[in-house]
Amino acid sequence: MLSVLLASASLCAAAYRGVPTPAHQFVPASTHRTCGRCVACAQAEARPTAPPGPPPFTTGYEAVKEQPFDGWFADAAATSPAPSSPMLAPLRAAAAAALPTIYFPGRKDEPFRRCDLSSLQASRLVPSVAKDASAAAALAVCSDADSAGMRLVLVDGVCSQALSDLSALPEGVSVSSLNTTSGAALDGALAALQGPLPESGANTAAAMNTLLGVYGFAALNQASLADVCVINVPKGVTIERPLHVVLLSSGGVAAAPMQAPGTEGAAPVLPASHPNLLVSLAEGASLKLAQHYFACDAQAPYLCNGVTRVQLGRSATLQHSYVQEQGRMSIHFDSVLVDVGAGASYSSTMLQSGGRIARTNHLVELTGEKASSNLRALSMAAEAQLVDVHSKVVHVSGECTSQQEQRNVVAGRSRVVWKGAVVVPRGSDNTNAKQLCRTLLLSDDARVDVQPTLEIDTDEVECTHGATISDLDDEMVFYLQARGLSRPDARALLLSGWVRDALALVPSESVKQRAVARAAKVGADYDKEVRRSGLSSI
Amino acid sequence: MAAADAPPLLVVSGLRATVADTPILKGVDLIVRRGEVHAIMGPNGSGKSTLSKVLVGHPSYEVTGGCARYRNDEDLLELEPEERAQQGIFLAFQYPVEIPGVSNNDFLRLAVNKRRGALGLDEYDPLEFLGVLSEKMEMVSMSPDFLGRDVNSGFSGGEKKRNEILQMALLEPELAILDETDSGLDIDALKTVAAGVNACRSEKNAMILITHYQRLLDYVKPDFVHIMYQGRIVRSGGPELALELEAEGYAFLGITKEQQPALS
Ligand SMILES: Nc1ncnc2c1ncn2[C@@H]1O[C@H](COP(=O)(O)OP(=O)(O)OP(=O)(O)O)[C@@H](O)[C@H]1O
Ligand SMILES: [Mg+2]
Repeated sequence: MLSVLLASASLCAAAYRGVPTPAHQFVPASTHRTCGRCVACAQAEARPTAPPGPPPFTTGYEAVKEQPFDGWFADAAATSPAPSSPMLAPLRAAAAAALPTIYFPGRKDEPFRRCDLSSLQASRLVPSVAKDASAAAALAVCSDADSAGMRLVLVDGVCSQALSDLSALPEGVSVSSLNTTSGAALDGALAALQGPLPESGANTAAAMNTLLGVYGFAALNQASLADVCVINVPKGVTIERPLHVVLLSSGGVAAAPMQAPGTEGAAPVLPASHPNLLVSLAEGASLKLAQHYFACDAQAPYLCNGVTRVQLGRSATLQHSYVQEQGRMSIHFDSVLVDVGAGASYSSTMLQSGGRIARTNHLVELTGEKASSNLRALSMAAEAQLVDVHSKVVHVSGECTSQQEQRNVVAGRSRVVWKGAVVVPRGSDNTNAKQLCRTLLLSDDARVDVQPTLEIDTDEVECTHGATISDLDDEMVFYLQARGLSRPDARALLLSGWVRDALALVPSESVKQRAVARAAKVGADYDKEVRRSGLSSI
Repeated sequence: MAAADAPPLLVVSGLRATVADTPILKGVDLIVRRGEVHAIMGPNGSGKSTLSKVLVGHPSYEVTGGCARYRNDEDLLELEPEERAQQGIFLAFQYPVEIPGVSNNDFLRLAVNKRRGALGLDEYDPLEFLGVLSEKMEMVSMSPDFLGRDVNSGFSGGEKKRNEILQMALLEPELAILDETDSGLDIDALKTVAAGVNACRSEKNAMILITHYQRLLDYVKPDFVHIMYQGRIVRSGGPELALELEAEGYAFLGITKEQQPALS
């Protein structure tokens, strides 16, 4: 068995275009619990540029002390408006019952070690109040014309009939609010919503050690449900055109002051919404899903706290595009929970581009034999953003295949965190797992923490992983200069090429164009910074 | 050959350069006039690629002495690499760089438009450019498939070299430096590349061919042949010098047979 691992270890030295990859020693499976011990991971982690980047923001919230059982989650849910459907009430009540036992996770909790949410903790959540005109305007900006007929729109987590257009939806396929879902689709949805949340018991007195940090925020989501979006593709149905689900955040607050008299100077108010998405593909069904978060007001502070559940029946196929373009002052928190049945295939492209703080948990469980997953992701951060992606791929069954490629573009004073776990429990034989993380660190003030983690408890596996951190390749920049492009132009072209390549499967031209344009700007800006500092040192 | 009294296109004198504090060029002298083709030969490691990289401004090399003057006595070494390119200096790389994610078509159009901008000409729009491009691609026998692919990514050695010649044909440089463009080509590809080079050759421009083989010089007849050794041009002559090398090798430099590059 050892030989299997060692033989594949050479693949770990997955260098990005001649970038120096740390020599990657593979630790034998028996001792290889987390890859914090593995040379490549240790170096990737140790690499943070000195001095460590400043925290992404300083707002004076630092004074808030970490207090277990602070009641934050219970308070946060208490302000939620009444649900749109009586069916939601028992679901909310069940989740709410657990909230008082959950404390706000701090930096001492492993999943949040590098994700400072103290500004959120110091805020008081109030319901988001949408202004419809701004939602329509935002929709016009963020969506492509070719999504017509295949577009469901949620505003602050509530399905909007006025903005949605599902006229081209094939017969039998159900895409709607829980309110208007019926029959088997409704039964399935309720069963999924009533099921236990992943990592239940974390951040409570039970002091569970978890990897993703799903529980508290997912429970808050369910305790605050205003609506649930249910997507159901019946057995054997293949939908060719991508289905767009646009999740708009208004960031609006009610006109009347929300503060009770005498509480001026108390916690700042933050409008919050809790979208909840249920995607279920029956046996042999096939769907391309484009899930897209966007802000109505790019400058508004707000919290978007989502939960997305995906269930793939036997031999179903989902191509999942997940695009996060929240407003620049917002906090995005999301847990994407995927269950891949026997022979089913889940492939995703995740773009993290917006948000002041964006934390996404991606759990993929390969529950049936011969299930497969292919996760591609790009986290692009600049200015003072914090983008944190935690993923966990669990080979629950044997004979499964998983692939993962994470790309990070880290510029400005931003911080990018990526923790990618692959778990192969005892008995999951004939597992094949590949993982790679490539980071372009473009600024001396930026910081990246990447941590690939393999937990392998079985012998019959072939697992590889690797991580590289580098700047853009100098020889490529020079080649382009030798063809007449200035350094900023060359860097912009290289970075946009890298980004375009990562987003090849996103079915929206406008998303790709915005991402590529942002990459070009980030690439070119950085060169200006270098030159400026070069000049000032003369 | 252009009139001897026309100002030279390039005058290199006493050029010295180091890489990581190691001297590589130790006083190179070279005069190139419009209409001329110069071949530079010499053993491995003698500094031929270094000279070409220095002339196009690669940042790894530090110029420590001498000068290079271009056209009307402009100081070439003062220009940024992209300015040199825009002013008509072209290097066909010995090892062309792969650039994933950037399509060859977009790259070529950007490069051509930069050059046109510097010449005060209008930029080509994508459609116009396609017309120009297909003509030049035919010249180097390249299939249009290569336009959709990423720059040099997964190209074979020979395809990369053809792509370099294609760029030369599109950019219409005044001074083209070809660093071992003939190495690694099969005989048909060599003929194609040589035909491309000959098609680009004119009274208005000049070429420097860096090569190890007489083979290329059978197809592209040089006016001058120079031999570089240990960072200097140690001998210059006409085409007959290359033939002499072919027959006798670099023995006259006092180096052993093993140190010599294989001569075809
Ligand atoms: N970037 C570099 N770093 C370190 N050494 C270098 C670098 N570039 C060139 N050199 C050294 O400079 C010397 C000259 O190299 P150069 O590539 O110019 O030779 P060349 O004449 O082109 O050889 P060849 O015929 O093999 O292509 C060699 O000893 C080489 O190792
Ligand atoms: Mg060379």
